[in-house]
Amino acid sequence: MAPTGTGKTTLLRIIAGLRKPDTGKVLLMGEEVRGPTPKLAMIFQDFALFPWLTALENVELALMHRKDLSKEVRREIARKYLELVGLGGFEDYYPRELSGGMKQRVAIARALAAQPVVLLMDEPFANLDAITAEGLRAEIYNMVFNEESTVKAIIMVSHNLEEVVELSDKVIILGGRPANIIAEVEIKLPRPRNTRDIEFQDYLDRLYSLLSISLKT
Amino acid sequence: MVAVDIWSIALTAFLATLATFGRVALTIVLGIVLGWFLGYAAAKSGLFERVFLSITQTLEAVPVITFFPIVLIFFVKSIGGYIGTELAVDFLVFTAVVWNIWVGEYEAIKTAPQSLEDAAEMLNLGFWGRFRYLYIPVTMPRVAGNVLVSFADALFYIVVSEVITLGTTQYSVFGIGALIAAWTSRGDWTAAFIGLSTLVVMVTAILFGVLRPFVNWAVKYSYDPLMEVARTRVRRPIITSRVRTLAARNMRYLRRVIAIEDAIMPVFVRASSYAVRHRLLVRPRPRNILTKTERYMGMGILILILVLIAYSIYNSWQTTWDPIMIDLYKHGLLYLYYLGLDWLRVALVTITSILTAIPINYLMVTHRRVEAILLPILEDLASIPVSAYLPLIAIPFTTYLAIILGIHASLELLVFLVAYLSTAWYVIYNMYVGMKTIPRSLWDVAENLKLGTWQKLRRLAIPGAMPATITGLASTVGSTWGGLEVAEYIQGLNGQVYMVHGFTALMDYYTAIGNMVGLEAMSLILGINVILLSIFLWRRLFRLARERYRLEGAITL
Ligand SMILES: Nc1ncnc2c1ncn2[C@@H]1O[C@H](COP(=O)(O)OP(=O)(O)OP(=O)(O)O)[C@@H](O)[C@H]1O
Ligand SMILES: [Mg+2]
Repeated sequence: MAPTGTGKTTLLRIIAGLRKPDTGKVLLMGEEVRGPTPKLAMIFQDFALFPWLTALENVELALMHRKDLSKEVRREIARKYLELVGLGGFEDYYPRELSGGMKQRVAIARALAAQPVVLLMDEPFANLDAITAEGLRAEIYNMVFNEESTVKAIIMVSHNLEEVVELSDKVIILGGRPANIIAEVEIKLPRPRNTRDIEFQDYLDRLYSLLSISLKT
Repeated sequence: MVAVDIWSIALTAFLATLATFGRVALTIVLGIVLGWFLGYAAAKSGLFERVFLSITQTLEAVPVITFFPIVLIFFVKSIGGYIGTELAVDFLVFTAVVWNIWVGEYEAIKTAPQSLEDAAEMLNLGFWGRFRYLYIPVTMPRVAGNVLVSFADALFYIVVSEVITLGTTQYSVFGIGALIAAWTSRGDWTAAFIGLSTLVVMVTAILFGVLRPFVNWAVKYSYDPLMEVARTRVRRPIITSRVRTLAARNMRYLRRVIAIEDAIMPVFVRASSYAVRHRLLVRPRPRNILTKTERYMGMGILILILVLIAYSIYNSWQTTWDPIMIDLYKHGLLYLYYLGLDWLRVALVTITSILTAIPINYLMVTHRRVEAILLPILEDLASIPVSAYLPLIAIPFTTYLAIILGIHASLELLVFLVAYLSTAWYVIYNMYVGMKTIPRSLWDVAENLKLGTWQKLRRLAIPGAMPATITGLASTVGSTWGGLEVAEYIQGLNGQVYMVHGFTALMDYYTAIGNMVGLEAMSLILGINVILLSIFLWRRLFRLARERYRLEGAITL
């Protein structure tokens, strides 16, 4: 978490290998990330779906670099992931025909289809209405961390305190220019988490005060 | 016997039109494909971007046709024969249509959403994959926005360039323009009329059968959620309880009109409105930053290009370099006077076009029925080149009106009319797009404040239409020059030559009598004029339209 303009997106793009850091390097399982790799998949705030491709074709794109797979196999895999995110039957819809929540599901399916180790999410719920976001948040944990999934961790950028406490194990708060780590908070609540718990509210208060500090730096 | 004759004429006209369309299609498709790569290179490399922009921006507003004799001589000399002429014609059309397509493609690639580029990169699509799934599709709406205008432009130029007389030699290629010219100069009016009708029918067929479906398809995949803006209309608060039944009947009628309207109507508008809005609205990413070495290299390349151009001019003119200077010394003032005359004509035509466009557009934007009827007509008219039916309009001006008004005034009027006809549609279109995209809330406010028609025009409609109108001005002026070129000097009508005092008329005259020295001297003056204009007028105007008149957030829903 960080105030707007701190460089969260920039950091995420560096981690993804889309941008070179001036100093330092990104290590993934001991290896340096030098450029985009299928081991890292990104989910964007504006979904980044190709408007001229159907939902299924969008997911298939993630498998394009796998030259070992035939077209049919790619299509089957893509279909499977669309079903996993609850969009079975919407294969032939174009992004403009889908609601915001459905678009984000397609984006999640596309990211998962690449079989990444780490999932990067840049404010994935920010463009959704509150109710849709709540529903998707409740589901995303099971979508991403099931037995078939290769994902080991998610790095998520968010502005929304409740979302952060509901989903994270560890919260890193950035602040300043250039950004520094202001604080690290571990969230030790059992899942599924209830937003009305007293402990949940305590975490909210703590993060809120930390963010206020970060705003001042 | 006569019937058979008519059918064989029609068949010839049909084949000739096919040949002409083939040329147009070839140049446009080639332009589009080349543009993907050039636009991509320009969007990605700061160095290439500078060079690309200065060249395209200069050439976008050039009346290429005026250089045609020089181009023709070059091709005929170095390649020769029919193929040389054919290539010269294709080259001319190419230079007439590509610039706005290229600029559009560059801008579309440059403004492709960052997240899509990131996604393409993360998905490891590779170079061709990125082209196929990202860069080519993002350019499609802009290509569609330009392709209709390019089609009309190309037809205009091709029809006049298919046949040209240089001194005593006539060069021509097989095509509808050459045919109609041959028929009219023979006085074979029936054949000319059949040829023209064939052209009109086929233009309409291409428009409805190929271009509209293409535009509809391309625009559908636009990333721009505002795309549907062109469909939003001014809602007028007419329903009070007293007229409710009347309103219900009107609604049924309106719905019928709308259904027809949506089926046949504003593709041209939708496409070009997308192009204009994209140009005005999408905040371009800053130009790529240049390193010091790149800056020096850029200057080096620019100087190299200039030296090369100068050298090739010098080379091709070597034998006549001194005569050109002498010619300029002797006639330079006359050339400048004629140039001034032509610019005066251009200014008059532009102002008249704008003045006539305002009420027409205001009517269309505020009255849906007028819009539904007028717009498709305008769209078709815009695509039929004046150059093709010029001989037909010229007849009364060289006969009946010439007697009443005197030949000078009559020809002057003809020139004005033709230049107006080759300009007005585009001005009307550009302005229509501007007025149409004024947000509905502003119209509602105007209604609410009970502003009169004049106030609405002055405070809302005209200023709202300004950015789009100005952005289109450079290319409409190019069309005006095209109109002047064909109308100032008319050869072969009634076996006569009709000309007025003007720059393009004199160039045509020099071409016809084969005065190469004078022709090259005049081209030199025109070239300098074009470059100065590009530096001191068009770029400033574009910047003004973009920055000053950009109604931040106003052209949205
Ligand atoms: N450490 C840095 N080094 C260089 N540039 C930076 C750095 N941090 C941020 N910037 C620049 O600051 C701008 C804003 O950064 P960025 O978009 O990453 O912020 P953000 O935290 O994602 O903001 P938002 O919450 O609005 O999405 C960008 O132009 C980015 O290039
Ligand atoms: Mg961000």
